Amino acid sequence: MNLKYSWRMGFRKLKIIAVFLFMLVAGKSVFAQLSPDLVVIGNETGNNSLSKKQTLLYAKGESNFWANGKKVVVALPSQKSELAPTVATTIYKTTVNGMQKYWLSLVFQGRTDPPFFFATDEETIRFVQNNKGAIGFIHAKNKSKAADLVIEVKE
Amino acid sequence: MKVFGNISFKIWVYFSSILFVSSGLVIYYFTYQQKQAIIKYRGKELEELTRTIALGVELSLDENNFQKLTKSVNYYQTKKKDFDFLVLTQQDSVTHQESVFSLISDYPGFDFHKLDSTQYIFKSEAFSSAIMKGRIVIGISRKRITDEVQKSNLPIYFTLLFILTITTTLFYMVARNLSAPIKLAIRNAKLLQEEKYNEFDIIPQQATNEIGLLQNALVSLKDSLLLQKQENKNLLDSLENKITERTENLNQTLTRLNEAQEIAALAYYSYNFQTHRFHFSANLETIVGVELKQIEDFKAIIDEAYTEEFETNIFRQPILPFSIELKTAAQEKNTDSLKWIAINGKCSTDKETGKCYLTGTVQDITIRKNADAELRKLSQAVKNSFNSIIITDLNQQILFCKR
Repeated sequence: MNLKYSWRMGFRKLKIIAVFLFMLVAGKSVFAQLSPDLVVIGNETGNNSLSKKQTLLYAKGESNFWANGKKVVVALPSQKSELAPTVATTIYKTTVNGMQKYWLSLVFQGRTDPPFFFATDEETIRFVQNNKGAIGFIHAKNKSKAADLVIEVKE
Repeated sequence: MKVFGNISFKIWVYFSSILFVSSGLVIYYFTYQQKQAIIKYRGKELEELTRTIALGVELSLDENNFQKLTKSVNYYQTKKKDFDFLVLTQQDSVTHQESVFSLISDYPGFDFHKLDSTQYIFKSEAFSSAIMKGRIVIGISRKRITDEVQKSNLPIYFTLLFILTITTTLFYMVARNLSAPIKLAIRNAKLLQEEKYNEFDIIPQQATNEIGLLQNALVSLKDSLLLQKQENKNLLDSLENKITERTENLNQTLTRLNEAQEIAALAYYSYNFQTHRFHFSANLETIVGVELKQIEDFKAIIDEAYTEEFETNIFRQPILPFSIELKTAAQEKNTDSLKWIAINGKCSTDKETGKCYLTGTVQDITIRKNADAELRKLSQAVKNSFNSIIITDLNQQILFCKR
């Protein structure tokens, strides 16, 4: 009875640990992806993968040069884009208008080069392809269209 | 101190003062106009820039086009030293309260809400987009413009100061040259005043200008003074001789007069009706035998019995010429030497003051009076004689006959 009970208790603990570990791994994976709907793309950034922190630094215009010395050019979804709220929420932790104001403030202060805004993922992909050092955000469903530009975001 | 009284300095100081004051006024006016022109120009520049940036902000927010804003902001950044602040304000859509959204200023304590137009020149342009409304404000401090004007004019100030220094120095030399003939004239005029004719060193000029005329006039004056001086000397000598001669004559006359007076036992007196004082000549002392200092008036020397008669004659108005004979008072005390005097007088008028004064003579007539008394006695004796008496002159002519 005691053995059966201790086995059950042990199994329950194991289950809890397993669930906890699963949640931890799954959470990390989700966080590393910024958002399940978002894919980060880049051209000659010198990195195929970036940490979340680095990604935010480049996307927020806080770091203006890549490790390979290329200038960072940010491509963002415009107000008309469906992806704009996702990018605003995920990257800038604000609304689309807030994101505009954020960049207005930066550009007004002359701290960084201004971002380029595109209404569709195709336009973003084309821009990134044509501009070295560019970083952009597209919808996850269009990931295959820019398979060679995708930058993996890791923890 | 002598320098300040110098004629060269006086000429120079007026010119220099006028030059410095007018230069100062020109600089002040020029600087003021320059500042106004710069303020006007910079005001227009500010207007253009605020309008461009406001447009850039609208494009950035409405059209997602930050390129125009970047260009205009970059323009501001490249000319940052010409501006003092760039402010992007945001207006609250509900309260309409304005707050600073973004600010570029090198002033650490700059407060947009305390903007003062006396300290800053600023322009603002409103922008409006779906996302936000606000204003772009750009400004320049007036001090910066003043400093800018002064800094840009510094070479002009130094050049002007240099030119002024050179000009005034040169003019001082010109003033010295200009005043040299005047100084010469003044120095020689002083010599003339001090009668140092031998040191007079102006040579007659051929020039017909004012200085030449002045110097020639001084030369003429010197000649004239010398001539006058010689004439005066001659006159003085002549006058001196005449005075000496006349004085001698007068003295001689006076001596003779005194002698004559003494012989005639005659003295002179005068009486002032205003001061009621007598003046007697020294001879009176000899005539009346009383010290002159004791004789204040005739009462001191005449017999009391004659006082009324004397005063009636001497003080009647108007005074007519009079002649009275009376005995002296002093002689009464010494009966051995009884004296008679005759006092004559008449009123004369002073030509200068027009006032009347009395003058006259006092003569000792004792001998005549005694002779008269002796004659009366002898005559009485002849008249009362019982003998016949005939008196003839040297020609046997009968003068008197007593039967």
